[in-house]
Amino acid sequence: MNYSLDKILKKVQKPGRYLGGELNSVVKNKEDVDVRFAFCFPDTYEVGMSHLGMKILYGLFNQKDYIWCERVFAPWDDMEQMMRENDIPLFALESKDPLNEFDFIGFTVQYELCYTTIVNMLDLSRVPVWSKDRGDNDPIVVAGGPCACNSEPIADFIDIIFLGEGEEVDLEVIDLYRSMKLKGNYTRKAFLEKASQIDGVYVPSLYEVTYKEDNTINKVVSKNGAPEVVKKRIIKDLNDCYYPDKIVVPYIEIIHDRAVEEIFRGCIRGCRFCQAGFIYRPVREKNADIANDQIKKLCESTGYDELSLSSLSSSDYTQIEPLLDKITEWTFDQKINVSLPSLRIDNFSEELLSKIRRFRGGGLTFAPEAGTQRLRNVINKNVTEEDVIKTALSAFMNGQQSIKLYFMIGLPTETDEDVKGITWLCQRIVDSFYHHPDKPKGRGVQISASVSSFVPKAFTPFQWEAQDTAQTLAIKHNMLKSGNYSRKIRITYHENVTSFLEGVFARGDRKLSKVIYTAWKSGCKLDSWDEFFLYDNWMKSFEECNIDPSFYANRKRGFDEVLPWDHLDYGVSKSFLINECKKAYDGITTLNCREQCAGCGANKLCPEACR
Amino acid sequence: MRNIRVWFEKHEQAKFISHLDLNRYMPRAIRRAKIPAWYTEGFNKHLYINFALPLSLGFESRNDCFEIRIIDDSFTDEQVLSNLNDAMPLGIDIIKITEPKDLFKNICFAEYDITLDLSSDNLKRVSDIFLRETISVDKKSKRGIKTVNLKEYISDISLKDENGNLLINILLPAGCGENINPSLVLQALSNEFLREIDYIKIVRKGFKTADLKGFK
Repeated sequence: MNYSLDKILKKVQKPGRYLGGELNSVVKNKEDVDVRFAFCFPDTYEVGMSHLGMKILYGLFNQKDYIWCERVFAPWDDMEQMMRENDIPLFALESKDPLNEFDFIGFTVQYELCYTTIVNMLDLSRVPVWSKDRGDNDPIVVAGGPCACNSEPIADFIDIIFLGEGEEVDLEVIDLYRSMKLKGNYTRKAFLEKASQIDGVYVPSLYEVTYKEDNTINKVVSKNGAPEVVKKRIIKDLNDCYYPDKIVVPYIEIIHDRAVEEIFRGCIRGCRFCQAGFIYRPVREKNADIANDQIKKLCESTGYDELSLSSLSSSDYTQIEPLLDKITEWTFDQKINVSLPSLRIDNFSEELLSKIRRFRGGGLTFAPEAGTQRLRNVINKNVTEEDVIKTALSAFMNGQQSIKLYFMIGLPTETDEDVKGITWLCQRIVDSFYHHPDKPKGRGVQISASVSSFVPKAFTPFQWEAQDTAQTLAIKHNMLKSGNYSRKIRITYHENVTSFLEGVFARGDRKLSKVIYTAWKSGCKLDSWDEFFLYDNWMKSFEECNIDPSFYANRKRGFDEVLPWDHLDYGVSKSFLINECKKAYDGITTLNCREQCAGCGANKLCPEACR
Repeated sequence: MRNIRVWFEKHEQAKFISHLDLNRYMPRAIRRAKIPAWYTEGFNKHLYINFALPLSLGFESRNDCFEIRIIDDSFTDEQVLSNLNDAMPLGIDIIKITEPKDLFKNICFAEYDITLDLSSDNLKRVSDIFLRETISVDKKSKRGIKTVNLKEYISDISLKDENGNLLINILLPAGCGENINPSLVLQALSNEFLREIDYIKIVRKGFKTADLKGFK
């Protein structure tokens, strides 16, 4: 090991974050590959290693013998200080080579609070932070993930943004780069222009944004032949798509330390607040036999005894019960525990519950999201109070001692009744258990309600809404606290200065890049961590840049306003979203895709999926 | 059913894998290696595994071991050794499998080789420190910090040159009574030289029982 790195590792917390060499990590000879890709997760090792997307793309890229993909995570503060003091640039875990030696530096952008971390990692890599300052010898900086659907705030830092699912488009862009390099006609400008012709590739530098007097967008114009509107890519058939049979097994404890199997993409429900449900449409399922096979291979190659079935709404997977049966056949004596997050309240049958309880006990979590039926209808969470009580009761009667419920406050049309409704709903669940004639004696139950605040997101029917201000939320929080009397109910509310910032960036435009840069310069990074979030620095940065953050978060927008993401197409049409928004205000629900097609437009991308 | 003692060495590349990490790593490795090990009964089944003594982060070890229980007597020790070695990370080598003899709770001492980031020219001066009757160091414990006399705890010590650096071989209490970490030796040196004396390498070479015999 490099002696100077060794000396530093002795002095930092959790040196295991920076070691590399874990089981199933891929080491190649850099002379033997044409393209080196540094896959960066803009957060710590423990967070990034839990992320499924990185596991998939790491395996996919490394399958090609001409690509070597390595992993990079944000160093903790103590390590970063040591690195800066000792002149050690940010390096990839597998080779320990500095990032500025790579061809591509790719960021997966999962949430808005990682933006300053992205800038910090670029700076630590000694790569020019602004796209316009990079030359032919600098790496190409790319980004993908859910935040790509509105990546305007970081557009000035990124060369290429991948819209949608990356399994095909990422390789197409890498192949283009490789062929231009081999042919000898590579220049940054020529490459980016050619890349912009590939479906799903958004090259921000080829789009000019102009603004009106009132600071809203005038228009976004493409140049040099780039498409006026960039359409997202999707994988049409998940059964015919790469999935890793090996994943890297960390030494240190990470947040989700288990094997993960993706069972389907997209969501049929159309809950009006949910960005993921809309941007990953249409729904495409994986065949249960194929899923079972992949799970077996993953467990064998890692030795994991924990498995998670991942999707946006697991009980909507049409083959969920057969899959659980197949898994039980070979896992029980291997003592592998299966967890099934993201369950729907209204289709959680007794059979499903019994199959889940075969595995080691875990929590059961449901998301009613709103406390009253009226508000649940507004947000299109088509779940009745009867469903909630029936499912919770069923879980309790079958031995579950506690359940977790997710709620939000700050939803559109919300009244005091709705906020208090959260406590009342929890109380009614507890009451129905204790009044049940057959309730198991001598055992109590617990409901833990986790309440967060609503942040309007792009590509949802609520993308025009004004987010509640911190003051309004504080009042609502007090209402929650004062309404709770039962010791069987525990209500936790997540305090929210970060939600405000999230709201600004979720629907922000390119003007915000200056703010991100200024905030970073003043010391902001790892904003999703309490120990690093510097609210005052952020507010000062907005002031210095002469930008009012509430313009983005707390302003109600008109349907005719040009939105910063209008030049990106995720399948779901704006007219559909407008219609859904109007229905929300009238309290009218929309049926799920399987009950009745609502004509969202996503079927254009993949007609086979929406038969 | 038989209990086996798995002897291993932790080398340089693995020194930053902490004891807790290793504890988490082993069950998975054993599962990958398809070793028929015993898991505890009850609702929350987990692998039955016991390590001799934890090792501080950054140290290497030789003659280290853990115990597991094999449920299939036809699965030989040789098979355990070779399967498990294949499942080990870089820097951890399984050396041998034996039948447990001495109990873990009978470990009373640990022997260390401490290679210092200090020239061996200082051999005489350092040697003199350890001839003193009192060597005061601050020992951290759960209750706070207390000052102890390191000299009381040193049973055996010798110094030599190792490629220009000073190497201290020392026997310190571990396990059944007090636990004295070699970092206290570094502290004593730092106090003497009035600057931080760091180690280049610390290797825990093995354990001894109360009668100073090698732990088996």
